[in-house]
Amino acid sequence: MQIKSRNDIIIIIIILLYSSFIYGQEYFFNSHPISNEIARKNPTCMYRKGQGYLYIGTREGLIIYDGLNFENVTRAKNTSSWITHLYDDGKHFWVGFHDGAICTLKGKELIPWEIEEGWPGAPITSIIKGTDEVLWISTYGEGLYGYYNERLFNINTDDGLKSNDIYDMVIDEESHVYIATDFGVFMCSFEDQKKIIQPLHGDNSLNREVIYQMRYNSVRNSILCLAHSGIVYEINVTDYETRVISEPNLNIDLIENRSGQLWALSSDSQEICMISADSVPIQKANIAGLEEKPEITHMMYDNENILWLICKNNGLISADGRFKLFSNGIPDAQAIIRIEDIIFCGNDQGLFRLYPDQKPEVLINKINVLTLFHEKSRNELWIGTFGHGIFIYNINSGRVSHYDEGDGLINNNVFSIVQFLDDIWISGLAGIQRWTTDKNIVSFWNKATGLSSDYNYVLFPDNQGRLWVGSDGAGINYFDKDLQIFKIGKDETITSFAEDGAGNIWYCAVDTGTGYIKNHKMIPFDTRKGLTESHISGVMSDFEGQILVFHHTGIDQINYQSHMVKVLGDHIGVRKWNQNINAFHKYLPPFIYLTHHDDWIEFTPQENNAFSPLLVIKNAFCGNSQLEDSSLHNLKHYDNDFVIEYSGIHFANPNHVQYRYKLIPLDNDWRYTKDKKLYYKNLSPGTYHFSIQSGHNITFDPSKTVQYSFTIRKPFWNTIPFFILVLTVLSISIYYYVHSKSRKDKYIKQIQTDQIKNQLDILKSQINPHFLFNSFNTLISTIERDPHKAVIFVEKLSDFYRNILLYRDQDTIDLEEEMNILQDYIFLLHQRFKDNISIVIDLKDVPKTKVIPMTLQLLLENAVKHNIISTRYPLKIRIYVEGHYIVMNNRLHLKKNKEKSTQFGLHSLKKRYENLCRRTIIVEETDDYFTVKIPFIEA
Amino acid sequence: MNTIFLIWSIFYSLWIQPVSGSRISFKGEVRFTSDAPLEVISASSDKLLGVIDHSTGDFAFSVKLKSFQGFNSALQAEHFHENYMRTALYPNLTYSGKLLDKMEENSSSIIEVRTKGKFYINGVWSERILKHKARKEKNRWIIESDFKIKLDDHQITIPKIVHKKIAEEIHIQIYANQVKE
Repeated sequence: MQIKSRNDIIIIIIILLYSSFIYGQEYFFNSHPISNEIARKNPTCMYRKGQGYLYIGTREGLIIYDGLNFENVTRAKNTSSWITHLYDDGKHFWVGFHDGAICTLKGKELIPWEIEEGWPGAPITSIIKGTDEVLWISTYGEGLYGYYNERLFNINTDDGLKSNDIYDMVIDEESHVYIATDFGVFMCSFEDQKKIIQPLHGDNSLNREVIYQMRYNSVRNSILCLAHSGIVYEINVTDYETRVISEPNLNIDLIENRSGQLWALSSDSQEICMISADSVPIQKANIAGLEEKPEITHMMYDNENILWLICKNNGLISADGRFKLFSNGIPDAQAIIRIEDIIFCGNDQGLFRLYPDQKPEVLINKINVLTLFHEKSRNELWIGTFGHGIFIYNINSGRVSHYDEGDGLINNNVFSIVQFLDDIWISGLAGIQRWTTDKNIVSFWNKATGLSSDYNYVLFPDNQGRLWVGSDGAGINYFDKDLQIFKIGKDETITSFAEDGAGNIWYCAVDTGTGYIKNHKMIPFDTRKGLTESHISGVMSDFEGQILVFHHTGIDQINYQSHMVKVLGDHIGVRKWNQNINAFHKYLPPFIYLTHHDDWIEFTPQENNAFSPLLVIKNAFCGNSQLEDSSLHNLKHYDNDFVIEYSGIHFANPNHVQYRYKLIPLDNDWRYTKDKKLYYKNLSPGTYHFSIQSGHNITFDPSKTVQYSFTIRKPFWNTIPFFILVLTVLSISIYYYVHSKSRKDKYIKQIQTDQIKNQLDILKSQINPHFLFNSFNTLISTIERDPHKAVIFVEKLSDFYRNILLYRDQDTIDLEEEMNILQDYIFLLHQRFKDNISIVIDLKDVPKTKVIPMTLQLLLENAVKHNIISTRYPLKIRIYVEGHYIVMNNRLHLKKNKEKSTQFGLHSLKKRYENLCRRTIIVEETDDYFTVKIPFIEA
Repeated sequence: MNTIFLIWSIFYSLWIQPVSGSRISFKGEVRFTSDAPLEVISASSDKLLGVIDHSTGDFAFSVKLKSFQGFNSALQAEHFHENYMRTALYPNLTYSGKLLDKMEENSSSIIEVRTKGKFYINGVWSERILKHKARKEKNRWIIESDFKIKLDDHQITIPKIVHKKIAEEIHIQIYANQVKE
């Protein structure tokens, strides 16, 4: 950086002078959007397990926070929601209340814990479950409760406890419970139904202390106790040896422990400090990034290395505990390196040594430092400069030697110095030179001898015996073990390389971003693959082989196996990264050093968490049915609205969390969203599989898919069995309808046929030649004898035929009419047979009845047809009524030569009566008499 | 044995000393029910005696086992006394300890009182927290209670042959009236 004006110098001097008071590590804190909500509700406690939600207990209920949004949960109406403790034992999420109530949290609901013995009647101060399955509940006022084997038991002053007021409780790995009281610390346990209480009093002053906060340190198997006096004690759990670990003049307000490191809040200065249990001096940790000095009331350090603070004035703030900022760096550093406990840093002003708690020390003034390299065998720091060649700083003696073009150095602009094949390799603006550690020049390469360019910005020896060379605008070269040169790429400008856990080489190309090399080709890894930013400053691998990509809005971490990107951005305090910075350095695990404006940063990338954001499903419903993960739900046809609410939790950068989902079979491909709620309305019947993943940017981890499967049944009227049923019923009824109709038709047709046949028969019989011949014979004889009578005869004959024609179409006629027709016929018979035929009709007092037309005529004709009619054997016919029958009876004198008979007449008549009135004609034949009984047809 | 002494001393003080303001004594009924798949056994006694000390929160309740009546048969009663309760050795069933909640008058409405006490049955102590309902009627306390005792807690073992006739948990109901001073 060129100092542009006098003012700048003055400001820098003032800052350097003034900042000596605030030197020390800092954590960059961010305010959270729920700060107002929290400040309004009197927060009482904080809890977070693993990667999950942040839970904040308040006097007015529970706040569930995912980094962007929050949700309020309260108890049932008319009950207090003053929460005092939160704890997740893996099975249940316990919520303790000020009134002694205990609930479990399920989804968004607080479910009262039902126990026979009833809830404690005093505020719950802590809930813990041990490996022995005893659930311990400490109260302020009723001592300690334990819940074991579905029974609640109590340990209080009656059992030997010194006080019933318990402030805090911790549990060790052997399930011993330690409680903090007004009279020091007690160990309690419950073994074989016996309550064991043991005070942790040695020959120390602990029993006179009010202990009101405790933390268990699993690394050292000790309990850290904060006394009301502001002193922090450490009690070794194995021998109860107690010692003070805080400075006596430092008044501690709150303590928090994570992986062996104790975080403490000093009440006097409202500062956080780190107390190492290993008697290392207390380090103060300043809060950076906030406009107002926070008044901290609650402190928590979670599993993801986030330090959470609740402040009276700032609400909720958090910092990534992996990023320790030191504000006493140098402006615009271009190189940083840690050698043992010394941190060297260079910029365009010179080489400096950095201290955590003092201002930087100038080692070499007025040189433009581009690169730093530690040559271990001589403990020398090689310094590559812009325009001044190489300086070599002997760390042991502090002597500085200088090499430039006059000493044979290839170029005075040295961009990179590395060790490869036991020698030192130097790159600049005129090729690459190989030196021995004794500073003897071995050889050099340039464009003429095989390199792609004379300008080479970076050298990188990998673990596979290759030396990678990044050029200015001419791509990548590498040397193999035999120093053969290979070329990759054409016109890229490469500023840094990294080797991932699988041995792949990643590069940083100016303007185009990062990528890796596969089969001698550069495969870009750009924003389309999930990188946040194309303009990157550099790449580096962390201690797990993951690739860190630095850009001016933060750090992208690329998983070398899955190529998932995790974004560490806004919440780590490095959002205004210098774009072209190259100053990062990997020291021994777990330390990585970075520079940031005037600061330097110690980054400890402990990755104990997953790469993708934790996807928490708040609820998943289909209609009224709640869906559960990994089971196929069978739903009713009206449960066809699928709704899902979820959250992907990544507090380090919640804005970059994205989701992709698909509902098979509706979606063929993934759909991408940032929404936290999805609807699918009016799904048609069928089986559905819903999958959802959360990720950063557009990269997702397929192994962390949440799936729901459900079948929406068809409505019953749409199912195959119902369809079959309907079809069956329908076809049966149609069959019966058709069948009955056809039977009726057939019946009617039968009657009609019979009728027509009968008519035909009557006609036929009347036009029977015999009848006509006989009639005409009779007529002839009568004409001669009695012309007058002949006229009557002809009249009767014609009447008879007219009647036949008149009545043949009718089904029935009155008996009277039938008798009229019959009279004509009888007259004709009498004319023909004279006295040889006698027909006696006795139909007096006959009720009004009907007959089929020509019935009696047909019967008379039959009788005439089949019997001998002579003087010797006169035909005597009687017609009378018997019961409900008209009876015609005649004596039998059957003709020997029978007239040809169709046998149809009587038979047809019989059928017609059956069809018409369901009664049959009775025919009785004896040797002498032939009788036919015709049933009445009632009018 | 300390607790026996405590009960003794409480009863002693109740009987010998003039009743002081902080102590209230009770008489009442106890009913136990064993609801087993094959048989329901139920017996009751109206000889429950109790005392509660308001100021210290101490309490003791006791009933003579011989006073239980209503067994299904005389043989059953004999088994109850000889095999299970060993009445000859441990003639009383007692529950004594301290109140966890204060018994404060609450305008005739029912209050919940928890007690942390020990049962002495079959010579075995067992600590239990119990929840009771208490109310004041006509200036006298009435306590009603309903809970279960596991036989296993008091080392009362049931022979396998009668396993389906005796429940593992015995249901106990208590109704106690403050004795007029």
